[in-house]
Amino acid sequence: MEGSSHRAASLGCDDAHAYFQAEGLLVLAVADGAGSAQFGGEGARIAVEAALGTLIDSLGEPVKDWDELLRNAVATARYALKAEAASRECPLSEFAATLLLAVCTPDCLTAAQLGDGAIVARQAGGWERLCNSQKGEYINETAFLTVTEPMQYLSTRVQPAADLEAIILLTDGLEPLAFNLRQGQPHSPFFEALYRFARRNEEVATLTAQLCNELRSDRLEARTDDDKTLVIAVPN
Amino acid sequence: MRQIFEGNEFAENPEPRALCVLVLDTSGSMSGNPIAELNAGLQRFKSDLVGSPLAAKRVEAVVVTFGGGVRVEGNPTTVENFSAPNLRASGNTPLGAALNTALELIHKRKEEYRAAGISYYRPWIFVFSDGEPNDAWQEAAEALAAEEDRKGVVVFAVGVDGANFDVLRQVSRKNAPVRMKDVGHFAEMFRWLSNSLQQVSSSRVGDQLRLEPPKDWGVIES
Repeated sequence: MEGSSHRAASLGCDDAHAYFQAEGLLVLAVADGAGSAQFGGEGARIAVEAALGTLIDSLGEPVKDWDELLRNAVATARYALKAEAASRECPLSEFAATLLLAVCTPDCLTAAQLGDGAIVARQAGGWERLCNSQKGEYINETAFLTVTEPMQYLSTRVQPAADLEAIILLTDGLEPLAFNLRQGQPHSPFFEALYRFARRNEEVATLTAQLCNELRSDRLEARTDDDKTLVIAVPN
Repeated sequence: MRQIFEGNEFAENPEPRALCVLVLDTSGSMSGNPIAELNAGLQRFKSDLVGSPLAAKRVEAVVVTFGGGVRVEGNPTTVENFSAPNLRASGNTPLGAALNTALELIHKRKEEYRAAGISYYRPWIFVFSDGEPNDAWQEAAEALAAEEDRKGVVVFAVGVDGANFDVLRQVSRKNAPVRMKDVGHFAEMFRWLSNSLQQVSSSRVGDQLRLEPPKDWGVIES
């Protein structure tokens, strides 16, 4: 998505996000630190930086295997958390975080997700969730980068970037608003409203402030009290 | 609304479920005071859990007895709808058949949760015995251990007086069995169980469970 503009709104200290943009390349990363982990917020920041850095490094050369590239970035994020936990002599689980990644080139749209949250794309007017939130069997045993075998929970997607109009990453605090809970389908009124909003011809900073206000409003807080992060990318 | 949702337990209550299958020895040796204490303990279990609004809607219980034969007392149901059965003691001790029944109950209940889109916690099997099993309990214990290994279930076992702890150690391998001090301690044992289940049913993603030791009612037989 050449020449994209980005609007990111982040509320709450346990979520983290980052992006990288170059000609013909857009890389987005979002993580949600576990509320129950002592350093969940730090874990989220470390994971986002490590994954983004790995993706940028690997994208310097032509990509042979997108799936492997994404897996490698997720594995590096986990390794960075392990290194941090070891250097601070505390359990890896105290840095528990989820990770969402998306990479867009003129040809290819790819995404990876480990844990809660969602990655949704608008292509040719339709909204689609790119990855699954691969939960464990039990409600209190959900996937994080820090669990024993995290890769079993990883969901990836590689597909052509044809007619790509928007890509949105969001953390689980927004899931109740964004999806039809029963079937897990994107709730298109929610996404269409965001899409129209993000394409307004205004300064990114102005739009971000408005979006933050909206996310903080009582109307939304009544439906979800979790941290919320929303990253929207649309072409200029 | 009442007419539409009545009779559909999952429409009336979409809370995630924490199932506990109580596998209880009602063989002849439990006659008299022990079975009376066990029944009183079950009443206590119900009233403790109903006292917690969250647990009342999340913890599900079902009783499987083994005494002469194996009986399932009703269907798994949330503790707010659970009524403690009045158990009677008689017959021998078919522990293995009771464990197999408990495993089947759990498989079936998980299928019902999944079909209804209800989230759930890892189910518990809580085994109590005062005697020596007289059926092919080894195979059942192996099946239970395999299920526990693949994280399908959590097993706890408690024994008293004539219980064979070598057997109970084979039944409950991850958590060593507890020797209840005497049959006068059912109330404290069920208090421990209801406290533990309250903790499980209110736990959130990533929480580490820290269950209390049996303290005042029993001794761990490791």
